[in-house]
Amino acid sequence: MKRMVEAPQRLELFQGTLDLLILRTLRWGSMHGYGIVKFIEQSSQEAFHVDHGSLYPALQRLQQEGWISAEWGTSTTKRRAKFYRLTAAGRRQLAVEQSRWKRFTAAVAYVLQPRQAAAEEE
Amino acid sequence: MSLQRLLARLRNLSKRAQIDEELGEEIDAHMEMEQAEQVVAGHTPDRARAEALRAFGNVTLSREDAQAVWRFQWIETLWQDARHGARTLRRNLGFTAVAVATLALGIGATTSIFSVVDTILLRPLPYKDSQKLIAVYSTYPRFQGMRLAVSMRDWSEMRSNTHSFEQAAFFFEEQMDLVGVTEPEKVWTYQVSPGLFQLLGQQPALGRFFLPQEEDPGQGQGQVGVLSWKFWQADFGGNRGVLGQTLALDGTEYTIVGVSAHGFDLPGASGEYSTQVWLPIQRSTGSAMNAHFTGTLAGGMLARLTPSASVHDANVELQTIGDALAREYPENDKNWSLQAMSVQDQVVGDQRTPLLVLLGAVGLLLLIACANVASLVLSRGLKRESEFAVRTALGASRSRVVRQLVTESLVLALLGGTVGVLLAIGGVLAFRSFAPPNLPRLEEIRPDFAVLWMAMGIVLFAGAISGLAPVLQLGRPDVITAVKQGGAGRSTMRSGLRGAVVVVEVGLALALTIGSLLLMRSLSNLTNQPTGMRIDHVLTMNLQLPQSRYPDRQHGEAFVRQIIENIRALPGVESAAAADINVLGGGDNLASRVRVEGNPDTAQGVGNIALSDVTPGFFGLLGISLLEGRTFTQQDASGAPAVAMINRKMADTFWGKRDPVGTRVSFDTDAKGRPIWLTVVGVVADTRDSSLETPPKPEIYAPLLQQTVFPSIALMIRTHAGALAILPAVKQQIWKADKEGPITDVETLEGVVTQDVAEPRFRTRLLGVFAALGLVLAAVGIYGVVSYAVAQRTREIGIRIALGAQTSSVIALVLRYGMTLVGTGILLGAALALGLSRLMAGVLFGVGPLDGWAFLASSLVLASIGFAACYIPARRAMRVDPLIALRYE
Repeated sequence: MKRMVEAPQRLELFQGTLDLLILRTLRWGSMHGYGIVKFIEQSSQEAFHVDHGSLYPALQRLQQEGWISAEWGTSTTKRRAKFYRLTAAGRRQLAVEQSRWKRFTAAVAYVLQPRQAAAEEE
Repeated sequence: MSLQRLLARLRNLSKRAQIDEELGEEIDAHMEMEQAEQVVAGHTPDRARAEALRAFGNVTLSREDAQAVWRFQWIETLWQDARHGARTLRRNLGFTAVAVATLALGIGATTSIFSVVDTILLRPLPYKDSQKLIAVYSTYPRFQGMRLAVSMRDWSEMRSNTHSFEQAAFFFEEQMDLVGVTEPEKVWTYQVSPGLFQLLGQQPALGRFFLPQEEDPGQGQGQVGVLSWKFWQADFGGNRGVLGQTLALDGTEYTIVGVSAHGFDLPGASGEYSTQVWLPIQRSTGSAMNAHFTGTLAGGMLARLTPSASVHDANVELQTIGDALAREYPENDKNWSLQAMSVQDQVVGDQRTPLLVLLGAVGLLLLIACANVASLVLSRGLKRESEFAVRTALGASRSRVVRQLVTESLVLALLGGTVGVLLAIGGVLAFRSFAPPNLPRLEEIRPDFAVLWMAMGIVLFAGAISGLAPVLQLGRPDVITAVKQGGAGRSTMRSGLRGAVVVVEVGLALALTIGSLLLMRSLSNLTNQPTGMRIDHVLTMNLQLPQSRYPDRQHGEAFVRQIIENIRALPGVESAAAADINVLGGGDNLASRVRVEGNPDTAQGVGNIALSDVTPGFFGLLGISLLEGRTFTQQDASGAPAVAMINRKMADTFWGKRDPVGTRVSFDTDAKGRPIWLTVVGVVADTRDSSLETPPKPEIYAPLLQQTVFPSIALMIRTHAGALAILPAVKQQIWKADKEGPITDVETLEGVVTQDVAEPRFRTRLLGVFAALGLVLAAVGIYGVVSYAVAQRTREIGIRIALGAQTSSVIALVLRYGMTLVGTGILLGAALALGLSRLMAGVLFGVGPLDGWAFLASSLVLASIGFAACYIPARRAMRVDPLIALRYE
């Protein structure tokens, strides 16, 4: 499904990660799909490429879980666009996801470079 | 999926269109924003648009993926594919019609025949624990191979103290006159021992069955009867008030005490022999209960094997019981033996081999259908290779394409299956109405749905596998080539597979055709079998001469003489005669100790010689030619010198070149064991008088009127016009001589022959139909593959023609391809038939299973059909316009 990863230096996002990044992006206020893509790509120093084929399904999914809600608004270019915002449940979910992510990266770091990871822990 | 999401999806179902539209708009907005940014970055609007598209990727796919989140995607895909499949099928009506017809035929034919076989051969009889039920019968050396009834006394001796079986029950049938319910009618009554119902595990539908004391002749209480369900419905309209009403049978009143359950009858009783009224055995035994009577009154006996016993154990025990009975009652039981067989085997009888042959044939038909569907789908799939390639190129995953193909196969199967179900039901109904009525358990036959699903599954599987073949080989790297080639290339390597399918199909069809031709030859041998007798315009019937009324020879002789004379005097009657056994009745009386005067080989007596007791008019009536000496006359009666006639085979076998006339022959001994000699007065031609299938045996004829006992006689009447028209007058004459004279088995000899061949004829027709269907399917298969090959090679053919090839050489090219397949198929089929036709030996008459004629004729038929199927596409190839062909790609 996830195809068209064109720049080899870019990293591919996994589904769970993308969900986390979307929730995190929306923490600062509502945003439309294009904005979410741009924000993630820029704030990751262009390391991440958000596959559009995954973005819209992810947005639909998060909406169904009740973590984000959507409403039509007008973009900066005066274009009608759908804006997503974080719900209260989404905020709680973001906290859960963030701590899970931290534990996950820490664990990976331990496996890869135990010493350095321990040093950073202190 | 969480409940919340499921609910959300369900909610969204109603807003499908809206959500879809919003998603589209949202993606459009996304694209515009991207485009705007590209313009800002310095691209021209067009270039910016392209960049935006490239950055976004496959719009449709991501839209679909997003939709999948909230839709029931698989259902929608299924629906979409089904619609697409239906559309594709509608566009290819020819393909669809042939595929559906093939599927339906395979499914329908297999299901109906297997339902028949399953009911008759496999399904247990509808009785409690029916595998443990046995039928006990008697044998007697003179009636070789026949299963005879058991005497009532033998049965009562076996009711207790047996080890291998128990619950012995007894029954015999009798046709009785019923008056007072509707019109006077004849009803079949079965008189049974009360334990019979318990033995078969039956409960009455209404009221009760018989009480043990109702069998006891001493009780003298009111007579009781039980109606069969069918009779209750037919004559009483299923009225529940029948209990307590009376039934007047043969002048005796019976109180109705119950109704037996729907569908219940004795093993083997069905159709016109269905039971109508059950009576306890009391009645017939009541007045005449004496040793002599019970010793000869005979009927059927059923029993249940004890849990650990087998049929063999029962037979061992019956041997001992039979010997003991013969010692105790030598006047009735001397030389008689008892035997048992499972009731299931008794009911199936000699139907096993013919049914298995039919099953085999329909199995071949199913395989042909599978091959045909496979070849059709395969050809079509190869044609669609480019379609699949394009789909893959547009982002369809391989599993998605596979799913689409499977769905299409399902649509096809659904259509074929629906028609197949109808065909199966129709087939079973047709079988029931066209089958010869003596086929056991005919009324129980129902379409078997388990088989239906199985047959459908098999054909479907073949279709699906063949449909998938092109996709499974659709390698991704080749996508571009495949798209470019537009489906014209790449397929040659798999034409071998299609060729193989056709070869198999031709082979199977050949085997089927050979089987069918063998049966046809056998049937024609049977119907054209010269019997050595004139059987037209002959009416036959059996007359019972009960010992109670005909205690000695004088009475019987007087009766026989009188009725023959009276009947001969009737207008329209040419002649009348009698014998001790039915002509063409299927059996022989066999003499076991025949001695021929002057032939030392027969000093100890030889067996297996047919014996017929006949009246003087017998030979003239049946047109049996006298070869030597004279026939019997009225003077050859009791008191006159004992005489005999023999057939030519007897004369050739035991007299050789000597003249038999005037010498003596013996087939019986007197009380002291000395041979009773009869003087041979004439020799007649050989006849097939027991059945069409039995070749003539050496036979001795003796005058009926010189024989001592005749419990029954077969009466034969030759008429000028239609034989049956004379029946009422004949009956009148018989009843004038004996007003209680029971007449049974009224038939014309021609009718007997027709019935004799009814079953082989039915079988032959059925197999003929299967073979014809097989041929049609094979022809379609050949046609399909050859047409496809021609279409594939259009370009090559065009080049050949452009380079100056003659039309004849083009036709030869195509025919060579097709006929190579057909020829290989014929070789394969012949080999297959060599193996299979041996299994048919048991149903063939006058033709061997390896009949060269049948093999040759079938091969020719298939070759010509194959040729025709190749010729049509070959003509098409000939007309190929080189210009168009070369532009084709």
